[in-house]
Amino acid sequence: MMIKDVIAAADHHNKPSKLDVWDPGCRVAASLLTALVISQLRSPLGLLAGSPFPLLLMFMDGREGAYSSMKVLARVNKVSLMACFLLPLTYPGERVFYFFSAQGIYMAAAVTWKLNLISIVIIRLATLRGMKEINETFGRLRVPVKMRVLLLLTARYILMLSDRMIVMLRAVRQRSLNPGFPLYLRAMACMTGTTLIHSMDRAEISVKAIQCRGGMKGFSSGETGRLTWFDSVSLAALVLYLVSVLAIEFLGI
Amino acid sequence: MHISEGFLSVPVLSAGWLLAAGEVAYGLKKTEPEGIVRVAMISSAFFLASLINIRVGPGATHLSLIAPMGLLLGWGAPPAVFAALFLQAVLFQFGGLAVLGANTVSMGGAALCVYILFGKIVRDNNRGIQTIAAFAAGAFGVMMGVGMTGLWLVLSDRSLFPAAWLLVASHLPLAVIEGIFTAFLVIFLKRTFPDVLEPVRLK
Repeated sequence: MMIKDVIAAADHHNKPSKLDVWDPGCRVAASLLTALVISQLRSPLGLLAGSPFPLLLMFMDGREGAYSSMKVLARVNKVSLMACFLLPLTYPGERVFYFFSAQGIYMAAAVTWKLNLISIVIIRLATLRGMKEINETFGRLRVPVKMRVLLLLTARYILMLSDRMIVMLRAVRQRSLNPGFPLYLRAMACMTGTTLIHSMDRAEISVKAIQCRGGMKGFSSGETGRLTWFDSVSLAALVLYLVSVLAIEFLGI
Repeated sequence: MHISEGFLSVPVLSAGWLLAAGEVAYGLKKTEPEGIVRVAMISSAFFLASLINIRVGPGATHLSLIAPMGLLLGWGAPPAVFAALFLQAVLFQFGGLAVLGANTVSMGGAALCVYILFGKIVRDNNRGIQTIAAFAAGAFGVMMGVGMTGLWLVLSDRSLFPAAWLLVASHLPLAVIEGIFTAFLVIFLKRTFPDVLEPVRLK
């Protein structure tokens, strides 16, 4: 992931989805529950039983929804490729093709499949439309105000500092074309240090501004809200499905 | 250094979430309301700095910046790590949600250990000792973070022990690079703005 990816992700707004009828807090809870259950699956039957729900989510908004999920999946799989390559080499078990363990190959395939299923669930259910929705979700989940303020400010400052970081990075690269390794590291350390000093100055100004407005109270106004019957019924149905997936995994039903 | 989704078992994931909740709640409790702004600002600066590619020979690597985070934030480091990882997952579609607890414990815990072990030495001594301590802190932060990641893997499945060892060994060069980087960073901050090395005010 690069700084430009962060800016692009922040500028990108998810298109309206059929899943929007579901409460954002419910969606985060559902994605966490589903991710936990899928993490526990190991047998082929269990993995098969756990696949329909994420696949349904992926194709729920038609070809466009599936395509946007696939773009993220490509990035996720690229990162985990190395880990999955190591497993057949290091996992104990019967060797095939001299170096690779049969159990390791199965394990790598299972982990990759689980990673993709969980990523789809997170992309479709937990990836929220922006800080406003995250704040509301946390309000509904009764997360303490301090944590909500920290998240709001961190997201805001990431976008604020990213522009500054790109400018400084360009400056470092222009200044030191082919430096020796320690010199290059020194330039990068000084650049990070300068960004930190700027951010400290900015933090002090922000603290004063917040104090002028009357402190942290009222800074984050996430509503606690109540679940609708649709939220409760759909969450209950999902729990029932996940329990049956676990039953298939452990009892082999 | 992050663990991807799919590797850890549910008991380990639950233990990760429990430990992370304790670490983050205590960190938030100890941080004054005004300190939250500083935690957020430094957390974002580190989040961005860790995305920069550092060229190493023919390849490139990302810095983890665990040690500078621990030295600058103290007890504020675990909430800062949690916030950065959570936003990565839900806002920027990168990283996992179920493994968020384990990753917070690995990186936030390592930052906290750096603060406890090296914080005072880096702040109070002469420049030579500070530089050596900063280098040690940088290398220690990486090795502790990756060591904890390896531990989560082994706790999940004992057969992952060789893979965990390989993971730890492969991070040795990064530990050296991070040590040098942290030493340069501490020297720079001591010269230009020494107050920044005072950790976030605690209750």
